Amino acid sequence: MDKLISLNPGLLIWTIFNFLIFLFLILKFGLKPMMNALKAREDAISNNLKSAQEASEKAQILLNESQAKLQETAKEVNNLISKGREQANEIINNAKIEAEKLRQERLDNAVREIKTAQDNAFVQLKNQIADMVIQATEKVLEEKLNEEKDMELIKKSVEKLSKN
Amino acid sequence: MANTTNLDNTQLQQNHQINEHATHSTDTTAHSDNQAHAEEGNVMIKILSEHLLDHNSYDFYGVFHFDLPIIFYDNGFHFYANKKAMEAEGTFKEIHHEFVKADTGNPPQLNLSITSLVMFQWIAMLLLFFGFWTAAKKYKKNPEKAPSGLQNLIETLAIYVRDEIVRPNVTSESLANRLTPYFISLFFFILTMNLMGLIPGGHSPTGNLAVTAGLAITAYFVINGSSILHQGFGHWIKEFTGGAPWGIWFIMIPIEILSMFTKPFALTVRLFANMTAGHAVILSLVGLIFLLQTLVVVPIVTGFTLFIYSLELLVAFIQAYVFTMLTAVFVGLAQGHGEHSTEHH
Repeated sequence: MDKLISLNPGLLIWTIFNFLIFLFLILKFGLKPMMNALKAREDAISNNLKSAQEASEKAQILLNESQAKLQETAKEVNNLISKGREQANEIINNAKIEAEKLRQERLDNAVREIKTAQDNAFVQLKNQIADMVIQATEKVLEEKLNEEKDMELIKKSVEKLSKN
Repeated sequence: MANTTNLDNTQLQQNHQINEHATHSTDTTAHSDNQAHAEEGNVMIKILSEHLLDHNSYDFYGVFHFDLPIIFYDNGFHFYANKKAMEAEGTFKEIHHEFVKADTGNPPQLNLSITSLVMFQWIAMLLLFFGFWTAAKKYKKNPEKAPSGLQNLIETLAIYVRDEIVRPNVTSESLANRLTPYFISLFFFILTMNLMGLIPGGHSPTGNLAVTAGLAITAYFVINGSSILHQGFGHWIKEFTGGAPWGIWFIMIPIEILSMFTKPFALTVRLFANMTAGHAVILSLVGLIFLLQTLVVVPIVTGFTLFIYSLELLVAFIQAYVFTMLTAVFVGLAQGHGEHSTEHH
């Protein structure tokens, strides 16, 4: 078993030689393309991450801006709505007042017209009565020849009147 | 067991002489009892050594077997296609599993043979290379697409190494980026070698001290080299004072110099011991059946072996992580010590 812990210089030299050859071969044909590809991939990933970070920052800014705008717009809209409501109320009130006025006017006019029509009717009635009185008087005057006839006439006239 | 009767002893001795160790067994019958015990032990050790040690051949459970090329440096390189070719040539020969020079009997100056562990390192390299290559093709074809399949597995582990091991420990970003490929390669190399020992017929190269030492030596150069290149040579020298006041430099400097070598040593031994221990435990458990010579223990042994095996799977990942992690920690320590020293002292 001495051989187990003996050191063969030839094998040692072979090992160093083999390892150096191996290192050269692997470096040249295996590791270089691999390390390059890995580096490229890592660079691509870090670039992507960076650009994603930038994009998200930009998006955050845009979001903030749009949120501010939205808030402003909401305020404006609220203002507009409240203004519109006020205006509408005003218009409605005005309309109510005017309508009331108009109604009153019409009512007054109607009352007035009724009154004038009444007055006219009275005047016409008076005139008619006067005319009839005159005609009756004329007839009375014509029939004054006899009293009997007078009475008859008067009766007839009164009848007529009451008929009317 | 062999200690019962004389008949058994003689039988075992006969077996013994058939064995290739026959040259050693020219003892008298009086010693045959001890010998038989030694032989039982030897069989276990032989199995253990076959699984854990480095060999000049590869054997797949006796189904197939092939010899591996032998390379020696001894005043010039000697190449042989396999053991037979070496013995035919005659300059070197094998005695007791050791290669020695035929004329002097000394071992060669340096044995650079393609051993089974070197072969398994190459298999690990090939597997990883094709894995990374197919992943790289996908990356080139469609860099933006999410990873899938093998590419995903490799990427997950690679990113884990980068984000959880290198970056938290190596504080300087430029240095971390420059060293990440080294750490990823180290992690995958160790992990694959660790896992290879769990495949039937496979061996873990990381279960050998020379392999872990080789990796630790590269780590040693990375730790100190990165410090010198990144902070300057003057700063690297200054690190040996540990940022302490000059009065205790005579303690600090030897400690720091020592720690420079203990770090890779700790890496070496930790990985080696962890990988060896698991295999040794599994083989010992299996050996229990032959030692006790009863089938009653089989269910227990199987259960324990299965448990240790899954533990080994975990250990393969943990040790790859630990080796890489500690190397990263040491790189970080070699960098940042001076910067914060004024705050601490």
